[in-house]
Amino acid sequence: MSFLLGSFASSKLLNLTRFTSVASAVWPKSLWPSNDGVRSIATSPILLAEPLKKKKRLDPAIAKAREQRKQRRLEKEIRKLQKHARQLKPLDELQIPVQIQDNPKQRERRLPQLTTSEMENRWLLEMEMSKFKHTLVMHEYRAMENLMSSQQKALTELRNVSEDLYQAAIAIDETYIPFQSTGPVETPPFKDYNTPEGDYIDISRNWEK
Amino acid sequence: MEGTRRYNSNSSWKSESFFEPAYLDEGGSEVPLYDLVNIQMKGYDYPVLENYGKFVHKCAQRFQLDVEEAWGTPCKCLRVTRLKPDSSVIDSEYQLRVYERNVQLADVPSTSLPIFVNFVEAALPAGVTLNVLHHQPEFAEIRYVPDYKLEELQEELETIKSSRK
Repeated sequence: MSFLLGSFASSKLLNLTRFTSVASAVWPKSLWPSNDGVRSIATSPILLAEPLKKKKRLDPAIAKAREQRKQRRLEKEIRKLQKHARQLKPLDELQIPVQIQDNPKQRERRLPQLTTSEMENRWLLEMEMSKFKHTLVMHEYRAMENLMSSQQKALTELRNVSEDLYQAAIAIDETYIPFQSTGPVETPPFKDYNTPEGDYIDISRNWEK
Repeated sequence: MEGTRRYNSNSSWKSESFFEPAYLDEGGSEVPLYDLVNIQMKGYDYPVLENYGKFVHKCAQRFQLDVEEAWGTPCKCLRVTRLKPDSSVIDSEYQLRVYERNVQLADVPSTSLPIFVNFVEAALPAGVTLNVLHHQPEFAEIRYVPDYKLEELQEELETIKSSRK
């Protein structure tokens, strides 16, 4: 019997189905080889590692010292960077375009020699202009001084009349700050002007990353 | 010549070149003062704007106001598209630049500001917008190239400081 079972075991894996059909004919069911034997073999992955190390508890004093060192390093670096003056954004209107910078000869002018009388004429014109400008500026200055002195006079008079009114007059006035005003236009508006549709897209240089 | 002599004798004509010791201001002003006032000018035409900026600066000095600083802010470039009527097809395209100039005044007496602003407004050229504003830190910040490395480091430092608390 045992040798028969042994031969089953060897053939069991090879041809189980054929054997069961034979066995069912020859042996009672209780003698059949069970599949449980195969099923009960369980494999587990081999752990090729040593057990995990315990996490080291850092001394809080050392940790604090480390953090402080890091902070000091950062502060030093910040100070180093702040030492340099901050860079201003360039103003486009004050930059000479690259094309002009590259070939300055293109813009060179050959002016004709001026005659003496022409030079004198120009000089006289210049003088006239400067005189005119001078009187203009003087008018402006006089207007400003008139404004300031008459305001001062009015305020002192007001103070003589009533201290309360004077205090109200010199109080901070919020109508002039914030204040907005737009200059005049060069042409009057067109009659029956059909406003076209469109967009304003901001394409100025983006300094964000 | 006579005219010049008359103005030279005026005290405020030379007021900018006078040395005034600091202790004169110690008592404080009788009139309340505005702290920092920005005169912001914007316009499409650069030479006009620049000249007007110069004018405002001179006027402020003439009104005996303290000009703290005067600067130009980078211009704003705009692409303007015009569409064909009743469609989304672009008819024409333009480039416009809005230039900006600023004059900053410090300790402006409350009595001087209205007359100064009125005076300057009366001389406003075409196409220029005048703004009188309280100074904000953003107005100064926008002039500088942002330093990302510095910002990053400062942020890191902040996190370290906040984590300790």
